[in-house]
Amino acid sequence: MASSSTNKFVLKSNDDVSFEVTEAVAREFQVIAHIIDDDCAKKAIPLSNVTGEILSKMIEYGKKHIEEAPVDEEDEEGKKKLQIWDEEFMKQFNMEIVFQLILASNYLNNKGLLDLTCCTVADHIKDMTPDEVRTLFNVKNDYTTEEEEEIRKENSWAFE
Amino acid sequence: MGRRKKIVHGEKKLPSLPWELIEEILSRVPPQSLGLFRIVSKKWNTLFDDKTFLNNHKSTFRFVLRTTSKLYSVSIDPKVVVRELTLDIPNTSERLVDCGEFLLCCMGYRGSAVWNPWLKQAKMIKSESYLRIEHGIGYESHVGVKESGYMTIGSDPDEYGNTNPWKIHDFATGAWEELKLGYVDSSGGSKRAMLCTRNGVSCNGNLYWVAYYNKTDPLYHLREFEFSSQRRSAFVAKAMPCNKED
Repeated sequence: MASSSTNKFVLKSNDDVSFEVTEAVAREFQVIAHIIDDDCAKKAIPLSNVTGEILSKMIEYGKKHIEEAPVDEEDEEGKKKLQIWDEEFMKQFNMEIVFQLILASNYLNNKGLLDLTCCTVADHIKDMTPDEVRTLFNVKNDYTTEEEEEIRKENSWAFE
Repeated sequence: MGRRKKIVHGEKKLPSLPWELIEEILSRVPPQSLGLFRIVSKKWNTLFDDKTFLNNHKSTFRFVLRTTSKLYSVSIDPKVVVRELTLDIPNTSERLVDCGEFLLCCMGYRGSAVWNPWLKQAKMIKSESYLRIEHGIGYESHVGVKESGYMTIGSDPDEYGNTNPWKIHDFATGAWEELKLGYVDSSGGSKRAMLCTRNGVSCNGNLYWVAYYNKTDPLYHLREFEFSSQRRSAFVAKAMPCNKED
């Protein structure tokens, strides 16, 4: 069996963009790892829910986390370095891209990227008003005015 | 995840996320903001009372550790994380009772402060008729009932160590209610008991103490108090397989 650093796979986005990656990078995504293990990865692996733009960012993240992986649990410096890179990495995206990254990292099952992207949104919304949050997540307010007032009263501490 | 409509180019509309991913995001939002987000929708409001959601929340912790001058919260899942807590109650040197989700900070006959370390909120409960509030916090633990009915009890220890009278304090209404308590032991008899420790242990809404009946009887008993309104009339005691001479 070829080593995972020389073995190459091709990932293909839903808008027909192909990316050649090493096996190690491909395995960063659980779903792709399963496809490889099931030996179904002879040709390009089609990813029907991910665009080329998003896939290129995910591969960039996967590569970095393979190349700069902390040596072990005790490698605090390595962890810190990667954490700083993660923060910088997320700064380049608007919310639309972040949402698409959440969907794609959930679909391809990469726990690290899902955590990172969810944290980015959590940080983004923490000082928002309920109205802004509704708009962001496309949630309909199903309270009557009286009910809303009731909830506000019960949680008055939060609205101070 | 069903098929989404393709976003029209240039349109600012964000892709809508499935509910489980919105939950993932909200489990990383600080608890203070979640209080405000209760009015986003009914579904969101219900989520923030859901035990599974609360247990999965990233700032949920299992217990509180105390050193001489500092407090720390400890979460153990998925890995051990220790964070320092800032407590904005005066006199942190006072006795603290760990009541699961809350801390009870006892200030003698003046009353007690209930502190919610999760939300970093504190609320003072003024003592009534010089009762000490130091036993712990409980709630009505009916299945299916939202556990909002938190209560605590106050008592005045007499010179023999008996605790009488007992009064119950409802956090929601602020009302005190005197308890006409019976004492029922496992054999059905009724005797007065003395508590070995003033603070009880809270578990599933009930409070538990180790007690004994009188100085000559060496047997320890486990004493239980239920906050459920129907069962609030008696302490239940069970004999323990150990005694004072052990």
